[in-house]
Amino acid sequence: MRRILTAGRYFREKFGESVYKIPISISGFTCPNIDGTVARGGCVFCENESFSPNLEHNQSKRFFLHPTSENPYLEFQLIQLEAQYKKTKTRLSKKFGAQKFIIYFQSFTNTYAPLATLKALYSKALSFEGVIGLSIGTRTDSISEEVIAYLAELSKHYEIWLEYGLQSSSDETLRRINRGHGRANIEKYIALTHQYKLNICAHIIFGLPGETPEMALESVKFALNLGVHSFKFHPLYVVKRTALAMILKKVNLAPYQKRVTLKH
Amino acid sequence: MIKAINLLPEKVMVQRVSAGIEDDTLLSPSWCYVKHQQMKAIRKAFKNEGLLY
Repeated sequence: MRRILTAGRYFREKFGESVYKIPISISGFTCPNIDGTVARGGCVFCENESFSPNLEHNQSKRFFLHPTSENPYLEFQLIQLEAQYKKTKTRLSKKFGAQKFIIYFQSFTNTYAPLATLKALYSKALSFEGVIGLSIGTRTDSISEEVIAYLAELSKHYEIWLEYGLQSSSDETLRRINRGHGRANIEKYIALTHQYKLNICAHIIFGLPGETPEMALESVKFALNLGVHSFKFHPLYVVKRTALAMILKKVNLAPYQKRVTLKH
Repeated sequence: MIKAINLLPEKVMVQRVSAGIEDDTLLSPSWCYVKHQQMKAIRKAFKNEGLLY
């Protein structure tokens, strides 16, 4: 029997005890394929406000970060971060006796903000009791060498992971899901991340529209060849208020039950 | 999924093999609704192939 190296096993072997992830969602973060920088609407499977009928009405009242924007809400974001940490830590400590934690910046693109904002959030997260590292969910088109270099410095003292949403290695699929970048961008920035010796986790979705299981395996091989250290495999699902939900209505799409061809 | 796992060297970590969403926003597929059942089925399928998750 082959023991798969799960996150639980990896962290227990490395730190001698279980390490628990604390997922964090900070207001103001968005993605470059939502705000119009590389596309609009976001990935077709992702629920976001782009599909809210009242988006235009709300847009003027909402603030979204951009790497070159000012950030007047940093203090609020830091308070939000601490509140989410405390709430989840308390629950995990009571339920499992958890003592070691990784702060997981999960929602949207967590390096798509001014460097000063990222430094403030990451350093605050690392200052919390029991926190031994960070896991940062992002996109390969939203990371800069400056941010990678900063994370590499942090990695000398903490467990730092960059989680890149690859989703697929097929340019055709990436276009179809409105990813806003292609395979070449993935190759370039994973190579750069490697130069700084950071831990890399690749997210791959199985069952994307137009993809066969063989194509998903090709994506896994592609990521392996780039030298990623970890994977998250996600079976595709369709949720309300997504572009995929609209397509589902039209063609009765059911992931891994029926295949569908999308035309853009 | 099993083929994907079998491609990986033993030192490569697998952090996730499932997708669960236990609320009424899920449209499809229905087997994503109850994550613990999904994980049970995945673990069983892995075991049948000699994989311990």
